[in-house]
Amino acid sequence: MSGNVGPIGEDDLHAYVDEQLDPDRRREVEAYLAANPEVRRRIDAYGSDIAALRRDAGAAFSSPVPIRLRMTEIRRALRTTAIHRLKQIAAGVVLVVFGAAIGSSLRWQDAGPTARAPMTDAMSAYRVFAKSPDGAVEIDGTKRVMLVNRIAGHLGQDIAIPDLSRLGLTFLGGRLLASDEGPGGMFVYAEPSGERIAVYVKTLADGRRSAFGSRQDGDVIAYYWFDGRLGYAVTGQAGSAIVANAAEMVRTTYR
Amino acid sequence: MFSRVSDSELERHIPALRRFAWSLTRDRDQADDLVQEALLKAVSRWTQLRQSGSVRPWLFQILYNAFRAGFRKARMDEVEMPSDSDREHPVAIGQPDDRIALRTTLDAMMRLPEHQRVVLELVAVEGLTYDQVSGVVGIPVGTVMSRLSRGRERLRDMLDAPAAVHLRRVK
Repeated sequence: MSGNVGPIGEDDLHAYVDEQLDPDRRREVEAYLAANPEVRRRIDAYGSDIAALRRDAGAAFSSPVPIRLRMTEIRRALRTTAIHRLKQIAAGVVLVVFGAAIGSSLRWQDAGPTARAPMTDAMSAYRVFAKSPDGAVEIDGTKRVMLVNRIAGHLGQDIAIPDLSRLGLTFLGGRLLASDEGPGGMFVYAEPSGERIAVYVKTLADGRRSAFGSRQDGDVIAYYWFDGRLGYAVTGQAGSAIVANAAEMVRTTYR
Repeated sequence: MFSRVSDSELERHIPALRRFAWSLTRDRDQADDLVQEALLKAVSRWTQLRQSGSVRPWLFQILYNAFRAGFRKARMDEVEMPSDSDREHPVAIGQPDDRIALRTTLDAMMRLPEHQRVVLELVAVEGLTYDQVSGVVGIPVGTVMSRLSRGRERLRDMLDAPAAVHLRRVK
């Protein structure tokens, strides 16, 4: 907003409040306001309204960005739903570059050339156990206390069973597992459609931490993170809309 | 690299996009749906971007267009004022949250008619220039300013007279 000349107008006053005046005009407006205290009061009030709005808006959105709005997730969604072949290739290239950038910041890549992609053990556990119609759980969902005690004892630390009923998931039970790095365990849930979602936890060999990651292998998707004590993965069918939400809820549970 | 804008650059703007989407939809879940849709559009349209300095208004524009294109149709609760009408009207009567007291300036802003709220949000909260807002919303700069001016006055009226707003509600 610049180039105004002549008498001060409403547009000048608003541009003054919004700091969009050039320095010369700004000085003219300041002189005008000094001579017109009534107007000055109104303009000051506008200014404090802006400050309050910014403060309120900042406070209202201090919550963490949900997983589904992470660019890794957006890229994945784009790749799986891509209509256009070229877009698919481009998104893939970007995903790989971005993935490499993430990878280099995580310690699992430092494990050397034999390191596998993260949470391969979680995906195997999902395939072998969670999806099995009969063998999904060794301790069923009615024996929660027993299950929690068994898994906590196995992991050597406390672990709660995430309540995912708000997402329409039914808790089926859980089992003890052996992971790549030591003791592990898994809680298994059923979606209304019957598809399974598993919450996988394992002890860590190196106490590493990481932000959220996700990976897809065939028709299985995993969301995972490491908090220094345990590694967590929420796994499910890649086409399911519930898995990402479940991961978000689990992360809140274990924070 | 095909993409001119890095993902980390895009991620920096996500909080602002969530705020803007919320000021449009006034519902957090819907707002995040809208942001998701906008980001999908943004990354699938990377060829359209010319300058990286204009990422923010560019993203706002994609989001606003997505909102206009389909999002708004799904919402039956919006009481839209005739465009740019200068008529006085009661404070947000008939809106879904009309029994909630004004707690914050933000609450008051959410009661403004959409066309004023959008402009105020973009200028006052997000710090866009009038020219940028004109591009995002697709209206002339003069209209941006008149909506801003009326939005601001109405906001001030609401905040100056919270008692009156209360009285209107307590029957």
